[in-house]
Amino acid sequence: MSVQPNAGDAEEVSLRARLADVFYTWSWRLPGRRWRRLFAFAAAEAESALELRYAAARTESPERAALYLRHAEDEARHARILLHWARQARGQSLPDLPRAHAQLFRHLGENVFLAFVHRGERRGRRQFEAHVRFFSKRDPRLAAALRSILADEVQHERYTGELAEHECRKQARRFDVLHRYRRAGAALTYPLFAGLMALLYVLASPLSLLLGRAPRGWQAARRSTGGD
Amino acid sequence: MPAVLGVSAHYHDAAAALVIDGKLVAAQQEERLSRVKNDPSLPMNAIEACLTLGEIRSTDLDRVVFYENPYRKLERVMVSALRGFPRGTAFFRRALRSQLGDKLWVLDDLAAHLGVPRKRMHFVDHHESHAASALFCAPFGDVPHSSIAALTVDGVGEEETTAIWRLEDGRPRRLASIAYPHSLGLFYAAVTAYCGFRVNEGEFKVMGLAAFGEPRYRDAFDHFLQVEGGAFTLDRAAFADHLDGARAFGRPFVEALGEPRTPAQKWNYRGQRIQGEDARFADVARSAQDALEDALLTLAEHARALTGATHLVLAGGVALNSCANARLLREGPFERVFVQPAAGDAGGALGAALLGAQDEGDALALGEPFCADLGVPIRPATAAAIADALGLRTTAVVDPNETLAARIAGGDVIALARGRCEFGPRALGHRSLLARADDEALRDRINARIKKREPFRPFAPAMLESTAPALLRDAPNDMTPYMTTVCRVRDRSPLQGTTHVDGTARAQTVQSGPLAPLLRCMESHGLHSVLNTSLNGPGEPLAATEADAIDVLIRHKPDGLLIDDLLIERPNR
Repeated sequence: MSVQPNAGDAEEVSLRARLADVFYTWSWRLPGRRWRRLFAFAAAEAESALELRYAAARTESPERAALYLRHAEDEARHARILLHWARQARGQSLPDLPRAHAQLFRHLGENVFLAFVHRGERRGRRQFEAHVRFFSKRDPRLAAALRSILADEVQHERYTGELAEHECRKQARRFDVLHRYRRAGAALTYPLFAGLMALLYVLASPLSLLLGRAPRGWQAARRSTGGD
Repeated sequence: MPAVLGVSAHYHDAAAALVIDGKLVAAQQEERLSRVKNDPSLPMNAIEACLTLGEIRSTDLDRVVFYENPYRKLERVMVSALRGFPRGTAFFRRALRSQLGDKLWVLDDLAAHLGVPRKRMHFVDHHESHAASALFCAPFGDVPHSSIAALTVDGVGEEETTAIWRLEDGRPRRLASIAYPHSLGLFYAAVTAYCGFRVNEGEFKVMGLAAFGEPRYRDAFDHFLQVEGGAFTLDRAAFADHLDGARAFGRPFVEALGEPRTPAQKWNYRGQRIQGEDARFADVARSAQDALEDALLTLAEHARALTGATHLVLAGGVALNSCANARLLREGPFERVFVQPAAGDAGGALGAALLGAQDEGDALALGEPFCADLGVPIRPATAAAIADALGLRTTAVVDPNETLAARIAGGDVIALARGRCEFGPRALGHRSLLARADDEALRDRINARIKKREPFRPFAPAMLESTAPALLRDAPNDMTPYMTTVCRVRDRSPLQGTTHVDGTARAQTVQSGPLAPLLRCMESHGLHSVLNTSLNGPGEPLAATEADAIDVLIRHKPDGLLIDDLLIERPNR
C-alpha cells in the first residue's frame, strides 16, 4: 500500500485495508461513536506529545531532541484538530484530555522507544488511511482534516523507521503485545473489581453505625505517628 | 555524611528533596521533568535529578522519608466512605483502587525502585511535613524559637486539615488541629470547581477572579463556612468531595448561587471588566475569598493565643493564597509572616527530608534566607546544539543583561532560563518570561497569544528591593522575594501591565539572584520593574531543561530565549 498522504483515496487497497474498511464502516456508524472515537484519538495524540517532549528532554543527542520536539508539536496540533472535530460531533463541551504518559523513554531505553513509536506511527497511519477513505464522500471536511494528520503520520513513520535499530524492533513488538494485553486485561477485569467493591461496601456498611460524628473544631494535640 | 531523601507523591504535585549533612542540596518537582502538570506519580525522575545534583547514588541514602502516613490515610478514606453510605459507592471503589493499587505500598515501592533496604524507609505525618518545611526554612534566625508559630492549612492530610505548631527542642510540636471533613482547602476546591476550573490547579484563578467581583453571596458562604470559637466548620451538605473530588460542591451550592460555570467556556471580559453571566462567578469568587480570609484571620488569632508567638509561618496548599497572606500580615496579630514558595504538597518532600535529617542527628541551619533555585540546571551548550538542529538563530551576546534590558524596553517578550530551576509554583527569574511591566497592551498580548489563558488573570512585577518603596504602598516583607503575597501599588506607579484590577500586584522584590543584574540594567532604560511570569504554555509545567525552554520558544512564540549568554530566536521573526 502506498504511504503517500493521499493514499486514503487510492483505488487499489490491500485485503488488510479492505477488512479495516468493513470494520470502520460498522464502528463509525454506532450511535455516539464518532465523538468518542475522535476524542480517543485526540487523547492518544496528546499523550504522544507528552511522551515525545519527555524524550526530547532526556536524549543525549541534540539532533534527536530536535526531531522529538518537532514530532511533539505535530502531535499536539493533531490533538487540537481532533478535539475540535470531536466537539463538533458531540455538539457540546468535552471532558479534559487526560494528562499522563507512560514514560516509555525511561522504561524502554531510547532505541526500543523509537522502535515502539515507529510501530505506533505505522498503525496510526493505516488507521487514518481507512478513516480518510470512510469520510472522503460522507464528510469531506473531516476527511481533509484527517488527511492533513495522515501526511504528518507518514513522515513520523519514516523518520522513526530510519532511526530505530533493527534488533530493537522485536523488543518493541514484545512490549507492544504485553502493553495491549495488560490494557485489555485491566478493561476486562474492571467490571469484576467494581462489582466486588460494591459488594464489599454493602457488607462493610454496618460498620458505619459504629462511627461517631466527625469531630468539629480544634482537637487537642496528639503525638505524631511517624514510623516505617 | 548522612544523606536523606524526602518524597511526596500520589495525590498531586509529587516532588523529591535531598538533604546532605543537614544542608538542603536539591529539591525538584516531578511535573517539571515528566512534563505532566501537577504530576502525582512516584517522582522517580525528580529523585534521579536530586541524586545527580547531590552527586550520590541511591544506595548512599541513609534514610528515605515519605511525607505522610499511608496507613492512617487509608483509614480516613475508608471511614469517610462508610460515613457516606450508600451514596459513596463510586468513591469507595475509586478510593480502594488507588489506595490498594499503589498508595498503600509506597514505602515498598520506593525501596524497590531505589535499591535501598526497606528498613531505611520512613514516614512522617502530612501536616508535620508542611510545618517543618515552613519552620525550618523561615528567615527568622534572629528570633527565639518560642516566638515562632506555624499554621498548616490544606485540603486534607491523613485526617487533619488544619494544625497549629510550635518549635520545641528544635522539632515541630503540634498544639491543636482540626479534622476532616472541615477543611478550608476543600472549601476553596468546591468554589474552584463551581467556577469551572480544575480542582488543585484553578485555585489561583479563583483568587484572580475575586478581584472583579462584589461579595454579594457572602451570606451563603457564611452558611457553608461557619467560623466560631477560633475555629471553623463546613456545612457538609454543601460539599461533595467525599463523592466526587473533581466536582467537590453539592446541591446547596447550586440552590444558593445558581448553575455552575461550564468548564473551558470563553470569558465575557472587556475593558478590564467581567460582564454578563460571568460577573456572577466573579461575585461568587469574591464572596468565597472574603470568607476564606476571615476564617484564616480567626485561625491566626487562635494560633497567637495558643502560642504567644509574634512570628507566623504558613504552609499547606491554602498558604499559596497570596491575597489572604497579605491580609494576614496587614490585619493579623503577628509582626512577621512567612510563606516559603513551595507551600503546597511539593513542599511536603522538603519538610520530610529536613525531619529525616534531624532524626539522623544532623543540626539544621535554621533562619537563613531560603533559596528556591534547587532544581535541575540548564546547559547553554546543549541548548545551542538543539537550536541549531531546529534551524533556530543563535547568537552569543557579550552583555546578556544589557541585551535583555534593551529588548524588554523595546517591547519584546523574552524567555529567560538561568541556573537551576525553581522549586515551587512561582517563576522567580530562573525560568521566566519577561516583558515591560508598564504596558497593558503587552499584558493582553501575553495572555492571549503566549500564555493562552483567561483574560482576567494578572501578571506579577519584579523589582529591586531598593526601588519597591517608590512603586508599592506596602513595604517589602519576608514573602515578597518569593511572590507568596501581594502588595498595594502606589497611584501612578509605572506598573500598569502588572497591577490587578483591585490595585494590588504580586510583586517580587529582588536583592540578588538572576533578576538583580537585569533590573539594574533596566534602570538605564528608565524602567524600574519587569513583568515576570512563568516560562510555560497553557496547562504545562514550568520549563526545566533546555529542550523544554526551546519547546516554549517554538510553540508559544515569545520574541526570544536567553540562556545565560546564548540568545535563541525563531528564524522568521
